[in-house]
Amino acid sequence: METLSRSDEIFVLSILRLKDNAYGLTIVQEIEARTGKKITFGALWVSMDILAKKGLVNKRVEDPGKGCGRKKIYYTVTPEGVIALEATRELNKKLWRGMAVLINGTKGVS
Amino acid sequence: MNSDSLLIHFLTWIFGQGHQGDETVTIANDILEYYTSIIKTEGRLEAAKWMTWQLVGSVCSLIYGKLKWRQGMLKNYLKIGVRNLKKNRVYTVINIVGLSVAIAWSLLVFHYVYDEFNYDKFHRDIDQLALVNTENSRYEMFVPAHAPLGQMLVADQPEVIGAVRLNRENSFIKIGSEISEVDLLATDSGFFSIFSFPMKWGSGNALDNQPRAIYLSEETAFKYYGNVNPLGNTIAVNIDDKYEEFEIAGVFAKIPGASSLTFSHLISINHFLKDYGTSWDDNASLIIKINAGTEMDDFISGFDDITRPYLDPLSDGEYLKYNIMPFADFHLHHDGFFFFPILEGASTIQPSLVLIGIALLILLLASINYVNLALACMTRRIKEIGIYKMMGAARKQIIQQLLGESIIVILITFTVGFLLSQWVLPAFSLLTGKSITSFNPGNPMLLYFMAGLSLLLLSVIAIYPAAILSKIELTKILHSRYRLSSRNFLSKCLIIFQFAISVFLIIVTLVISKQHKFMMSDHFGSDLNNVIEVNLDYSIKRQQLTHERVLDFKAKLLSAQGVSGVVCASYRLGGAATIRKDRDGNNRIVCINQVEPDYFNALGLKMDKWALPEDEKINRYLVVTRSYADAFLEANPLGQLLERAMYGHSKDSKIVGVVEDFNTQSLKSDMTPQVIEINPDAGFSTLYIRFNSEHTKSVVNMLKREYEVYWPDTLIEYHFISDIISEFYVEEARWKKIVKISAFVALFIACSGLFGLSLLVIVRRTKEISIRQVLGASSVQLHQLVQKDFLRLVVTGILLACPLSYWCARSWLNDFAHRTPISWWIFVVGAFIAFLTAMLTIGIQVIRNINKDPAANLRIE
Repeated sequence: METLSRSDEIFVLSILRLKDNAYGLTIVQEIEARTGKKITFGALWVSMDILAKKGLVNKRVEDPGKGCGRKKIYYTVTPEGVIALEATRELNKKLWRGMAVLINGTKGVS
Repeated sequence: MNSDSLLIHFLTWIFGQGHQGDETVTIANDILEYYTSIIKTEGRLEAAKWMTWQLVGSVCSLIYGKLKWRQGMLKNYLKIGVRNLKKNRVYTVINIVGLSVAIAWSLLVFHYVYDEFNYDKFHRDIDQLALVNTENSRYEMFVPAHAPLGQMLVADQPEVIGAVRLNRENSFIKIGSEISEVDLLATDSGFFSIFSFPMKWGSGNALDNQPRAIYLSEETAFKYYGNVNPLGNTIAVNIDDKYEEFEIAGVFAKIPGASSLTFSHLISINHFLKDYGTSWDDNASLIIKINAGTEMDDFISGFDDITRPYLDPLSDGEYLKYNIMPFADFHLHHDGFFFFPILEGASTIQPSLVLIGIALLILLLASINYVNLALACMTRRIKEIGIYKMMGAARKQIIQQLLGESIIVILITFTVGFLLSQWVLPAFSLLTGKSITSFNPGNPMLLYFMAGLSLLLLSVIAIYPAAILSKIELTKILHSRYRLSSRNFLSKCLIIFQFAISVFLIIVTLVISKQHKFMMSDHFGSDLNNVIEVNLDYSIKRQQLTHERVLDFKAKLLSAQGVSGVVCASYRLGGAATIRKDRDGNNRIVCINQVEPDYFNALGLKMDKWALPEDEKINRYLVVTRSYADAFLEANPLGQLLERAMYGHSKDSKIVGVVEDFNTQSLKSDMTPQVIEINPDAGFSTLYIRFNSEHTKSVVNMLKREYEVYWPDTLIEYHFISDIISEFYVEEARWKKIVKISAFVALFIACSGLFGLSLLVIVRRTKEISIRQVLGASSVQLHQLVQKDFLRLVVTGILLACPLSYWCARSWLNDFAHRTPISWWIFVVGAFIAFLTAMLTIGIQVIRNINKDPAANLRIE
């Protein structure tokens, strides 16, 4: 089962959260607002290209026509994307299982 | 608005690499929208910062994405590239060896040049420091500045904010009971505020408050005490023949860069100056520091006016004045006339330029090999490229493939070259007289240099062949109509050029070695091999150096085995310098000496005219050298009266002889005129011992033993005269080696290129050669067949090199007052070496081919 890299995970989660309003600017702003992490458009662009090629994300160019704003690329997460996201969470869960005790335990010792 | 649309275009272009137009415009708009919102909320500056960050980050991501995207393709390029390089193994090896040597040499030269241009730059305020000395027109002499000048300048002039005095004092120190001779640097507390030598232990400023303080350099401290903190220990220093206890107040850390000022022991200058440095009779090297706001050039141009009031005017047109020079200029722009003996290692820009030139030549030679071989190999690869084209490869893709191969080669050569340069760095440091012991990988300049060098190489060696190869039309390839053999005009020119450079370097090497040998071995009117000079006044006190004692010592030495002559003199070889007016009234430096009568025989001086009066007392007569007679005396010098050699004697003496000039200093300058006084009663302090070369060791041992008997508790100071002479020519010896090595490398690279090209030709003509062999051609004829074309190029190169090297060698020789002629045989030898190596290189190939069975060659296919 394919899992996502950390940055891809962040992007896909933000797209899901933004629903139909996920395009470059909103995604970057969303991530910044929620996590405080700064990202470059280039990184987003490259990730989106790769994810779209893998079929995890859908790309849709919308041109509202003259007078109604500029052209934008909207992204949506495909069902495969959601499955990959779930798999990522499963993986994280497995990795984190029982960790809380260990981390707190170490804290207690030191 | 206009700038916005420009920005959009720019962004679109950046993001547009490999995407459809529509998409890139949208992402550029995204960025622009964010950008305008930042301008509104945080201002233009923040927005600009954000934009820069975005651009740099985005480009990195895009490159990364592109690489990831095309992983498969890259892998393919790499695979084909490696296969090709493996297939043409010989050529790959030739290219890699040549280029690695060139890169290693360039890296070494980079270190040399970097070191030269950063000399003394570790001092924080280097641009504010200036050196000051005194010029006395009466004696045409330069001396260090007067001792109190620095403090007076600081007190009177607002621009001058600091001053430090420095003197070197030779003395002895005693640690426990062990005595050793040391070079003390005497200075004052300005040392710590003006220079930026870091301290390892202790702090500065004990120099003034604590008169019995001594500072050590790190190596010295390590030598005496090992790796422990020695603060508080005491060292006895010999000052005015008394040992006084000094307490170690600090240890300097390793000097963080190349430094003109070096020192091992540092103590207060007040021990050596009268009246605590306020006396105008004393001199000390002075370095002053000016205000950060003052322009150094302005200060220097006004310096005469500032300092004139401090000096008494001299009579009739003679003058005394202070000279000034920026410290930063000392290492590279020292004109040789600014007397400042406290600093060492002054150099010029010239060696750096020569080394850079040689490095460029060698890089060029190696690049030529690459281009030549790549062009020559083309005939083999032309079909491969035809296939690519037929399968629909665009020109861009073919270029990428070929560039990829070059990049692989360059990466390999850089690795090999770097390792090679690391390996030979100690030898190189020794050769060039630098103390660079290791690469500093953290030096950003080195990284820039390597990046620049690789880009340069890539553009020189890779782009041309790739461009040509990719341009060929498909139909021509498939019809085999495209011809690109070694008949190519460019390749021919490049080979000629390679050999011209090699021969040029060989000839220059020969000229330099000839001149060096000439200066080392030809002692003109003297025979100075197998002579030892012993200096007695160096460490022995006056009271113990009586006339009788010296003569006694001499007699002892004379009786020893292997010694064929001993003679006493007052001064070292050449004598003491003084200034006299010559016939035309000009001041000239003259050397004077007082010697025993058998001085001339012992040193093998050639007597030109000799008219010793018959009377018993032959003392107090004078002998002058030929140059003295020519410049100072009238036609017949014999019998003329002359003031005596020594200061303070006005009595006239008779000239009884003229000797040929003999070289007591570097032959770069003219011979110094000499006056030699024959005076057996003079105060002697130098002995010349002539010995048989087979007894060298026993004579030296005997000398040390006898000295120990006569003057215990002092150190003997002796030199072989041949060593003294070779020391004059250290520079020449160094350049001889450097040019010799570069000539060798150049010839090697040129020949390896020839090796590859001749191999290619032979492979192409295998069948022709075999058929000729079958039909009965002799091996001489076959050699002729292959070698003719190449050797013609080599000879052209040689012919081109001869006038060039003649001109170069002549301008180099012009620096010397005495020089060897550039004889014709030098050119013959240089040409012969190059021609023979080239012939052998090609000959090996031919012989290998001839020895194969011609039938086997013909039966292929």
